[in-house]
Amino acid sequence: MQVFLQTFINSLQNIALYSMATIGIVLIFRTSITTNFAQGMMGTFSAFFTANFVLYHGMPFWAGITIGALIAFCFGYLIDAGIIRHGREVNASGRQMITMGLMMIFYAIMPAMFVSITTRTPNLPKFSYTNLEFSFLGQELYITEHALICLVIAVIGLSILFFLLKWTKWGMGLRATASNEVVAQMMGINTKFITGVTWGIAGLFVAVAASSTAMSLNAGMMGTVQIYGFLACVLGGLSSFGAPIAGCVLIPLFLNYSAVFSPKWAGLISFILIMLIILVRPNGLFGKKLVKKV
Amino acid sequence: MEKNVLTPNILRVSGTETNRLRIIRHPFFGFIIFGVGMILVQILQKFGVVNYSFAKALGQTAIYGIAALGFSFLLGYAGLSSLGTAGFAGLGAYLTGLILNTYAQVPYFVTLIAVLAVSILLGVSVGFISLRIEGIFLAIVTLGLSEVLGQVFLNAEFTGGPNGMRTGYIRLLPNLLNIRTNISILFYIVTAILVLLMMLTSNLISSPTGRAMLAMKNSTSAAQAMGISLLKYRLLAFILATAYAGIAGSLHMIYGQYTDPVQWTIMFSLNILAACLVGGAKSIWGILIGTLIIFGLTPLFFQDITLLRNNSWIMSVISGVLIILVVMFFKGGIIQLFKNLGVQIRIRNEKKKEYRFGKDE
Amino acid sequence: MAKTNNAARPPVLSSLKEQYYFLIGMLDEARVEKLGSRAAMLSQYLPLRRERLNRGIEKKLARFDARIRKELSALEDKTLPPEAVFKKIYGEKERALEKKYRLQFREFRQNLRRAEGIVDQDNNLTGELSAQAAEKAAAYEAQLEAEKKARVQAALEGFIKKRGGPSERAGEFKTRLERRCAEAAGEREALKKALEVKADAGYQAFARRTEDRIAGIKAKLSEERRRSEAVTAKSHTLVLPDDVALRLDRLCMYFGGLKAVDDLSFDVKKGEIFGLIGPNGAGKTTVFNCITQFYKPSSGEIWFNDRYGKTLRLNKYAVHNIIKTGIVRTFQNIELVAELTVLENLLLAAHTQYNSGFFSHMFFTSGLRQETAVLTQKALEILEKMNLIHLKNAYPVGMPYGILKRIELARTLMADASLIILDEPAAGLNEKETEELMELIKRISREYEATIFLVEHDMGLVMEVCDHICAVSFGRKLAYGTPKEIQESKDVQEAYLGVE
Repeated sequence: MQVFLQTFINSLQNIALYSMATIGIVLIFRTSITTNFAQGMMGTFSAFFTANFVLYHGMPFWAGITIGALIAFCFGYLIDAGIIRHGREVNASGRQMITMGLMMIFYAIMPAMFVSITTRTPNLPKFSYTNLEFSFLGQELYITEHALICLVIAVIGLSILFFLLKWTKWGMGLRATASNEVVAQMMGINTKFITGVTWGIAGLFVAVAASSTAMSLNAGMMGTVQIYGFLACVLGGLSSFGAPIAGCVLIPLFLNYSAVFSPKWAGLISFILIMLIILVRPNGLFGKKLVKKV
Repeated sequence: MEKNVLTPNILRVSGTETNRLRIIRHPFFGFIIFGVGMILVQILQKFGVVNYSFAKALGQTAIYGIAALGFSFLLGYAGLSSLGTAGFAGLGAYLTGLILNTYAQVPYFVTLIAVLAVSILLGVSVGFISLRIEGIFLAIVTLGLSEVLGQVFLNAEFTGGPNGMRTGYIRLLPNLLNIRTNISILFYIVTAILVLLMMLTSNLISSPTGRAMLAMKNSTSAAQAMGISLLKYRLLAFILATAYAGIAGSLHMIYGQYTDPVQWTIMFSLNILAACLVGGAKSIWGILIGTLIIFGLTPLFFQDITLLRNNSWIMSVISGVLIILVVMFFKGGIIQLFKNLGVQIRIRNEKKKEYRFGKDE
Repeated sequence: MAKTNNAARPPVLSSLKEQYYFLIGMLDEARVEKLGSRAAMLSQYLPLRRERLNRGIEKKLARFDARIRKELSALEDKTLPPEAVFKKIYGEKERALEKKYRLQFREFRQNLRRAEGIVDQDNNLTGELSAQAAEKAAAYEAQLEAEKKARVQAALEGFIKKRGGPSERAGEFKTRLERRCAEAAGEREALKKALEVKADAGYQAFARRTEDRIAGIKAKLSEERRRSEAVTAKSHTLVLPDDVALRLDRLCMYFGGLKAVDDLSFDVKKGEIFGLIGPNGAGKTTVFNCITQFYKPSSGEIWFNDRYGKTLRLNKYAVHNIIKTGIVRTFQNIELVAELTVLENLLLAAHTQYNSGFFSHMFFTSGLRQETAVLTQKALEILEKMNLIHLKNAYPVGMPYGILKRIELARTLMADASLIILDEPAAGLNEKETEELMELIKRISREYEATIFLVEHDMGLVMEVCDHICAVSFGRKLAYGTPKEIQESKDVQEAYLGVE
């Protein structure tokens, strides 16, 4: 029982991390209809900025994260405005390829830009280094404060995002763009601005996720997270903005609980579990099937 | 006027000319010339005209070309997206290594057949998955499958984990040929297999099978109404892709005599996808050009430029920018660019003539 | 096979057994189909083979001719006066010279025009040359003409000087030439004969082999067909009367709570043109999709009499097997394959007629080549008939709607179907095109002896071409009858115009 609960609590930080990394993938998938392979790299890029400010310029961590996130926002907007927007005519795999090209560029220039970081590969700082101990249902449990803060940031951030999506004019425009861009444009919605901001927000969230991983910094650090993000999208279903978050909750749980049984094969077990679920529900847990009319 | 394959009468300008042209126009002519060219490079390397590393990298690129050829069935013809190439090829490589390390006496072609059999099984299972899942979802699911295989490569005992796996001699025939030191024979094997697969691919894509796949890509309902079973052709496309990838992986293993899990990550799948898209996914020559650009430029040419060798990141940036530019501006890939160039030149000449002599007559 | 007409549905209890026999029957049928089509393909290939051999003979003869002509021409030169020889040799050069001078003149004229500013940016003429300039141009042309003549004359003089006068031995050469001519004619005959004999022997051997194979296949075929029929009789409990092509028996199709088709029954007679009409959303296309098994009907049966007189229950067939039973359809929004040429689109419809498997495709075997030759011939004939032959190598993208519709119609003909289903063939066509289409539909039904079943909004077309019409509204049958009866039906008028 103690192990069960503790494993759940240990998963919380990854749930927060994956949710923030994945929401960007969903937003971009819905507006630009592509799987963004550069998502992880956008996050890593701004995490490098954050680390640079915090470790070498003595900035407080929260300020570093904020600046990193803002930089990621700008980068996201610029990527859409500069590149993705001009690739509208390209087919789906072509757009995937564009994001892959972006990924290669990011991957290459990061070590060149931050020589001091890549040669030393320092750990990213945490919000706090203390553990909180408490008892629940008669079990002694603990949670790191860092994880708790991450979770709070994720919950607040995602709540604000969903609130914006649901109730603001921007959110409505985004939903309209996601369902049919041409019609949205005809209705007088500024789709260019909306997709740009969407990319920006995607960058912002993934930047926060990447900066708060507390892992050692290297250019490929978000690779696994990104793959799990894609799988979470498919697991939850891409027909709504919220469904992939369910996938993000499930995947860390799969990983951590299977690690209880076999730490070595945890990845394999959870991959197989995810694949089985997808095979049974091809459109995701909450997805709907579209019937093509002939 | 386009070339008319069906009524050779039109071609009959005069008897002898047609005969001479027919050989050149046969698609295999180019493939054989290509193979001879590859072998020539290897021979030149023996005489010291070409670098050893250049010849070796060329063979390696040719191996990736095989995987890309198989992938074109999925991307260019059946219209299915897959990011599982890395897993499929890695499986071929590790299986070859396993067989060679366990039974050193087994001739290589037996190993190849075993790899093919396993690849085909894998292809069948992915093909069944593709019936239920489509589009970008399929890409992500195959990516997951590839990751499953990647986990096995990383954690299983027989693979050597992150340290990688090494093999020794391979035998072409039992008790006859031990070749290890002689990389040029391996190069010839790779070239022969590549040319053979190019021919088979060219046959397939112009046959009813290729047509059925294209129909399936463009409109599943039209394809079904015309009697094309989606199950059959999706299975076929995946079997072909996994089989080609398996062959490529197996050749990779014997050619380099080493493999490790880092070689078979998502980057490899994406690179194969990029090679197909950049070159032109529907044309065999396009795929080879794409492979050369994505896999070949760095080891073949840029290795010799000091600035680029010392700052390898510049090369990566160039590749990235190139991919983006080609995908965004040349829809059919680089091969389309060449085709368009021919048309453009003709139109320009026509225009020039009109300017000089006037339009009448 | 005893023809009993029991309209009752198959009992549920025996359905498992029925299913078993159906599966066995499908396998048998596939075998029969394959054998039959292989035999047909082989016998159709024979004349093509003959043609190919003839082409080979012609080619060899042409090569012989070219060689002999060269030889004879050299001989002839010696018999002719130098002027004639010059003309023969110089002809080609003179034409080149003429072309060169012509271009020179055109450049001169173009410059004149440009000077007067009557050429626009796209090099189109915007006006006439002024009289003065025209005169100048004419003068230049005359000057060039004179120059050319002088050059030809000079060349002739040079030639005669070099060669000297007519040969004294012309007579001798003449006889030699005549002898050689006769010889050559004889040689040609002999060669032709030898080639023909050889080709004939090859052809005969091939034909004999093929005949043997066809006979073997046919023997097997009749046996297999008997077996298949016995099995099918066990799996399908109903036998349609001979004159009915298609029967819908209480067909229902529900999407959730929506009843798209509700208890619809009617017969389509063999060889007729049958129309299904109804207001928008009446479920007409759904009926088509049910027949071709794109949708599996919620309940009800669809029976079909195929070209061998066998009654099939279509509900059991997979979508891609429908075309094998002899039913082919078009789509409301044209579904042509944009990445294939028009000819290849037609060949696509013959996909099930190919017997060669994957490996013969991979290795491009002679079986595949024979089939391709036969089917290509057939496709070209259809294109010729449909007036589309000039488009055979074009891609069906960006063409006018009418042409795309015609290509799709041509594709249905390729499938050797006994029932052709047309989904709104006239949608998007103008009046003239619609009229052409009417003629076409009538012609197809006449020439191919196919039953045609169409859905259409254009009442003019429906009333003109159809033998029988069924009107539906909200998935239910309103009326059935001849066009005249339908026009007079109260229910139909209400459905279209509303209740008064």
